[in-house]
Amino acid sequence: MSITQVLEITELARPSLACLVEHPFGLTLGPIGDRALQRRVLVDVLEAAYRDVPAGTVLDLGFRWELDDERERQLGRDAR
Amino acid sequence: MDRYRGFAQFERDHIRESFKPDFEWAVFAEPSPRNPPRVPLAAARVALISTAGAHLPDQPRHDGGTDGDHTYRAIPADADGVQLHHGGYDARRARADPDVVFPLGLLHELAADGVIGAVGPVAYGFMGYIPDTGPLLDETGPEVARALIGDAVDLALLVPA
Repeated sequence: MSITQVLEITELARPSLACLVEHPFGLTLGPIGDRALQRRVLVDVLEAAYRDVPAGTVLDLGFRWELDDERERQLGRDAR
Repeated sequence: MDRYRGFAQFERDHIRESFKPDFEWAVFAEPSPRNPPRVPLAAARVALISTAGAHLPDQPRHDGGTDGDHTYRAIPADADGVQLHHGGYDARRARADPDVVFPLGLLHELAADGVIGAVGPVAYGFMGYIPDTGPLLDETGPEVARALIGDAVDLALLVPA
């Protein structure tokens, strides 16, 4: 199974099961040093592997990045 | 006219304009089949696959050139000194806390706490820029899949960067 940060890419690759975690590139599990959040993301993702859902499902685990606008900037057309 | 939604279109345009004029996403009509773990999480051997550009000091960095890199680094789960190099994200921050993209330390913590059964003996480090997916799909991907089976892994987790 896979974590995904970008739904529109995952919809093309179609892994068997993915968990959407809307964090910035380079900070997949959470902010630097935030062990509690990183662990919560990891455990939630691992537990999701046991859900009875069809192949190709992308589960939104509800993790959103609210510290700053880094993720929004990374995903914009002008990011590069 | 855009072919894809949002970031998929922006990134495709960027790669075509900057690196590979013929780049196209690999698009799959059908999902990969599910293969749920056969043992509870508390008994499962969990292996890490990361696309963060992880390698050990004595292993070569991934090639960050325009053609990307479909190769991987086999990283023993008890190894120290994992390094991160990847042209597609700011790896400097993650070097201060590799678990954000390469959560091997966290997996060991979960194993010690009984949340998972064990950590797979080897983690596999890829670098996420692989514009030509053929060699990944035909060679290195199946190689890693065979290695994971050989490692008796119950659950393989892919963590992107």
